[in-house]
Formats: sequence, C-alpha cells, structure tokens
Amino acid sequence: MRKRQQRSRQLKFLLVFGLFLTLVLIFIVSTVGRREFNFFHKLGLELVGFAQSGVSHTVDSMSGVWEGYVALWDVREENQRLRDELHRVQMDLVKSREAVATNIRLQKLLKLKKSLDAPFLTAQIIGRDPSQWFNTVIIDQGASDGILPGMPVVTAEGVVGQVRNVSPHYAKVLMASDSNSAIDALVQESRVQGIIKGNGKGYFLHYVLKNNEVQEGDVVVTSGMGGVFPKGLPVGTVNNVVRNRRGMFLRVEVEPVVNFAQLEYLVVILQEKSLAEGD
Amino acid sequence: MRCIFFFLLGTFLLIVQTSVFPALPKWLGKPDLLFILLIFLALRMPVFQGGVLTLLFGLEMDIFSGVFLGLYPLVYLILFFIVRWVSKILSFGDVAQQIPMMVASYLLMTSGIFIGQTLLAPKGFLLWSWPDVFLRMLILAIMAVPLFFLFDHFLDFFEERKMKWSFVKSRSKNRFASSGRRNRNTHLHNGEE
Repeated sequence: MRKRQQRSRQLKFLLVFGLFLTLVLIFIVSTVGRREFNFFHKLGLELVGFAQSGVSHTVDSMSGVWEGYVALWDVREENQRLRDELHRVQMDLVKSREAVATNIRLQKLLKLKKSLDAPFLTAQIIGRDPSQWFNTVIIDQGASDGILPGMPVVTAEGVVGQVRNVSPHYAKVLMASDSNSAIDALVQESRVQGIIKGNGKGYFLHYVLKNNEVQEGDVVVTSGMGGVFPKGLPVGTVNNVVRNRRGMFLRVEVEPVVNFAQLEYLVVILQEKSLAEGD
Repeated sequence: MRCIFFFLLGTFLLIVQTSVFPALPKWLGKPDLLFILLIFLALRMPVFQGGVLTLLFGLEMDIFSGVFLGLYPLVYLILFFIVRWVSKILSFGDVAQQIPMMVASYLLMTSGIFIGQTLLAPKGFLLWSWPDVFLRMLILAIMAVPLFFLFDHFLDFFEERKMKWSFVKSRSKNRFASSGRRNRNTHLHNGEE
C-alpha cells in the first residue's frame, strides 16, 4: 500500500518536473532569435528596473553630494584665487593712478622749473599744525639741503608760503593763509598793489585804496617787491570787494589758488636773498 | 621712569595729531589728544613732575605749531596750575566731573592762545570760529573718557611697579638686624643715648 503511494508521488513529481522542463524548453526555444520582450522579460525588467532605479538614485544623490563637496573645494580655491587676483589688480590700479598723479605733478614741476630762474628743491609735507589758529607745515628738507628761513615756498599752482624755521633736516613753513603771513602782491589786470595777509582760510588784500578798480574774478599775483617771491606767481582770485563807508581802503577778499588742505609736495625756491637776512 | 613714559606718550600723541589726523575727513574733527594728556597730568601727577612734563609739551608744541615761541609753554603752564587749583578746591575725583572741567579748560587754553597771538601780532587778522571751537570741545569730551581710563591704567601700572620695587627694597634677610636698627633709630629720635 505504502509502495503504491510512494510510486504515485514519484510519478506526480516526474510529471510536474517534466511539465516545467517542457515549459522552460518551449520558453528557451521560443525566445532564441526574438527581438522583443515577452511577458517575463517585461516582468523581470520591471522588478530589476525598480531596484536599479532606487540604487541608481541613491548612488546619484550620494555622488552628487560628494561631487558637490569636492567641487565646493574647487570653488573655494577658485574664489580665493580670484579674490587675490582682484586685490592684485586693484593694487596695480592704485599704483597706476598714483603714477599718473606723480606724472602730472612732475610735469607741473617741470613747467615751474622752466618758468623759475632760481634753483629749487622739492620737499614733502610730513606734519601739519594741530592747532586751530595757525597754519604751518613741517617739510622733510632742512638747512643741510640748503634751505634758509624766509625762502619762498610754492607749488605749480602758485604761492604757498615761506620757510619760517629750519633744523638740519627739516623745516617749518608758514603758509600764506596764516594770519602772521604777509606777501607783496598786485592785481594783475589793474596793477593795483597791496599786501596779501592770511585770515586762517583765505586771504585779504590790504591797503587797496577806494579809488582803485578791483573787481571780482581779478587775478592776484606776487609783485616781486621785497625780493622774496619772484614776480608774477599766482596768489589767488578776488572773490569779494567791499566798499565800507568809513576808512580809505577797500576790503578785498581773495580766494587762494592753492588748496592748502590737499598739499603733499612743496617747492622751496633756493634764492640767496631771504627774509632771514632782513631779520 | 613714569615721567619718561608719559613724555614719550605725549610725543607720540603729538606725532599722531600732526601726521595722521590731517589725512582724516574734516567733519571728523581733529581731537587734541595731547591736551587730554595735559589735563590728565594736571589732575593726577605730582606738581613737580606734571609741571615739568607740561613745560616740555609746551616746548614741543612750539616746534610744531604757531610762529611765536614760548606761547604754548606759557599758556600750558598757566592752565596746569589753574586746573590743579580748581580741582583741589572743588575736589574733582570722578571722570564724569573732570570731563566738563577739561572742556572748559580747552576753551580757556584756546582763548589764551588767541589772545596771546593777537597781542603779539596786532596787525594779524585772526578769525575766532565758534563752530570749530565747539566741534573740538565736543570731540575732546568724547575722546577724553577712554583716554582717561587708558592713562589711568598706565599710571596704575607704574604705581604698582613702584610699590613692588619699594617692598622688595625694604625687606632685609636679616630681620633681627633691621629691627634692631629700627629700634635704635627710634631711641635716637626719642633722645635716648
């Protein structure tokens, strides 16, 4: 009885196995030479494709993060490099601007040199008067360079002042805008003479009689009297003329040609005759 | 040592004032740092040391500013004694009280320079400008608080060093001998032979 049951099972197994084997053979035989997917191919593709898609996205996102991180390193380096380059270019620009400014200054000095007979010396301002009431500057040239008290100090624009005190390597210059300064001057158009005195910010042209013709916009130049300043150096422009009822002189306000706040370099005219000899 | 330090500090402040501040925009004003130090010296330093330093700073200012020599030392010294006298009478000890006095002192100093200049050069045409004076006073009042603390810090530093040094010098290893000497001195002072 048991043997019959055992044979029956073996037969069923062989039938199922034979059927499966037949189906596989039919599938293989039917597949070979075809180009299109059948159902199983499609099912397999769907399943594997789903898995592939998941893995691929994960890998992609991970590789994206990694590449982004690595790329960030590159960007940072590039950013730094570009910043350095920009800084270098800006420095070059500043240098070139400074070179242009120096060139302009030297051209003006050259022009001044041609117009001046006396030898001169260029000096740099190294210190300015800290007080409210005085206008003096310290320059980096002194007695050892040939500077003496009283020597006129100018720029290419015009009159600046006079040397007041000297030490071997430095000198103090009294600006023409200081209230202690006085320079012989004349109005270029009308040839009216007067004394230019500083008022802290600008000038007043003193001792101009009321019967003289002085108008706004007239140019004031050095008269050359006294032998301190060469004749004809620009001093300023008349910007206000007041005729007071009392007194015999006009009140003439003069705007300096030189911007005292922006001075950097000065020209000291090394003339032998200076105010020191008069003192 | 303390005097030398404050002299060098004042010189440094003067150099900053004359070389650095002119490059700043005008609306920022130009704080008179040396003047703050001068007022500090008048308030905190002994009369002799403070007076000598004030005189030296006045002489330095003569070099860098103005035309007439001697104007700054004179005005500074007068101011030094006025500030000392006023602070002694009114017992100013706090910075909050000293700031208004410093501002008033600046007004006094600048008036002194103005009057001195006018007397020495009567033909000069010096313009008094209240806006400039007020601006400078305001800047001084603002700058004075941190600078006073800084100067106080320097002064404390030197005081501590002085105290430490005097403590080290006064201690002797032979305490018996030193105490015996002290006792003997005490007896001598009392007239005991």
